[in-house]
Amino acid sequence: MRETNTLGLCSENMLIFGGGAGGGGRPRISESNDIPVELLLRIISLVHDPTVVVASGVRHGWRDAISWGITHLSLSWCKKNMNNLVLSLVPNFTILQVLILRQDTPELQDNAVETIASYCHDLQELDLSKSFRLTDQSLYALAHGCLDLMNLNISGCSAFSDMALAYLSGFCRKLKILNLCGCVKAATDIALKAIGFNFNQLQSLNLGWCDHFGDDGVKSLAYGCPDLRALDLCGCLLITDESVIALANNCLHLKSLDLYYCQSITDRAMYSLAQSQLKNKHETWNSPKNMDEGLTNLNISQCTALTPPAVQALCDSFPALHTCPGRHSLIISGCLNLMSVHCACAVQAHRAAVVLPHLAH
Amino acid sequence: MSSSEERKLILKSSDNEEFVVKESSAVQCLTIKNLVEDRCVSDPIPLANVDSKILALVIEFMEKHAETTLSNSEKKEFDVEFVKKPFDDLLELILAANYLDFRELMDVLCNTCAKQMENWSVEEVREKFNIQNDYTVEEEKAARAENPWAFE
Repeated sequence: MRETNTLGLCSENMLIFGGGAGGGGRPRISESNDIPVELLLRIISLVHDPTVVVASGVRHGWRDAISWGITHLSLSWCKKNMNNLVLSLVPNFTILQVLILRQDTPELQDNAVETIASYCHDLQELDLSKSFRLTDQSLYALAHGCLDLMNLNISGCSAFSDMALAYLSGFCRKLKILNLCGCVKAATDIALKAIGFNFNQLQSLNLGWCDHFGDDGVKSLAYGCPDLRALDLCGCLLITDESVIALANNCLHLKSLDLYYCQSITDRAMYSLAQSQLKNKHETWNSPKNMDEGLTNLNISQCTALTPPAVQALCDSFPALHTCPGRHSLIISGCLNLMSVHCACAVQAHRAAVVLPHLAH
Repeated sequence: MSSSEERKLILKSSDNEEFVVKESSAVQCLTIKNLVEDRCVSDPIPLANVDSKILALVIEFMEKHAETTLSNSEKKEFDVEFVKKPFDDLLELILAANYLDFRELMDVLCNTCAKQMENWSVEEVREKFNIQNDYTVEEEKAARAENPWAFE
């Protein structure tokens, strides 16, 4: 707890509105009176984060008020010395819910994350992307201190291991959004099994460029996380149709799927997605309100084994997948043989226009 | 019905100057609006926390924003010019607007204040807000060592 300051001013003074009562002279902001707390916080809520840091250094009363009022903070603008800034600030900001520490050059060390875990028990969103100096100690600390985490971004934190991630999954079970892009050592079948077992509320998972896991991991994920809406498997070279089939059958709310460069994917995967959507439609036949449009985004670029009939079947099953220029959401770059695949609106536009050479994308 | 029958209020500043305003303008200040609705309006309404200089400025803003003939962009232009005042005055105005619960004025002033604070150091903030530093010598030293950029 902060000791009271030498001038005997304590935070109670913050609530006294200054100004003389009646008569002579303008009320000045004098030493014993200060801007009311709610006014200070209103102004602070409008300033950028560096100014929040400056303001908390002005006097004890301001720092206390700010620490009661600030729930969202980003320190990504701090290009040098971010670690020290975290160490000095975080003990004051104990009600933080969102903390963004995304870096350009890796600044953060384990002691910073340990500090965050000791003080910010209400933390819901944490962005530690590109902190590749962090070790497993950080994950262990978060597992013990930040049990309410719902959104964790550790993309680029290449030093984390799968055992530490699996450990974290046993504690932070409210996680809904997890970004493991580039966490090659952490995203293994073992870790994905733990994630499937523990993160039952998971909605969004980014496993981009992690090529140390395969179908076993994705299947565990599909079985354990039925609420999955977005999955990024970009560059996950070991994935085959088995993974996509498991996802099609179990993750019925899937909206976005990225299979860029998953070159083992064949038409089987496409048909399984199309068929599960048909099945979905039949089951919600009696309640049109619950009709899910299914996939809205699909990236199958460089999946060169795919053929037009399969992808067209997919496009026909998911009305929200578009190849038309305005709403392009079915991405097929590098698949020259799939140029003939079109969404329904692209076909209509083509028919309605005067015959022009079709501009392939 | 005619505008000459429009209700007027008298506002009295802390230094006993009286200002006549239209009720329809004055009720932008929720503090005053509540008094009117609760029929607790004395004549004049004493505003113990606002002096005449500041009250005059508040009334200027109040009347401009109550004018139905002005467009939003004209009001915004007025606002831009209105806030070109020394920081001391802005601060007094913020406190008055807070006391009167005059939300439009608060919004404009708080945004201005926030913008001006963007590039200030800790010392400048203390100076402009006329705040006494209450950190001990050791605390101040530690703060300066941890975040030297905040004190430049």
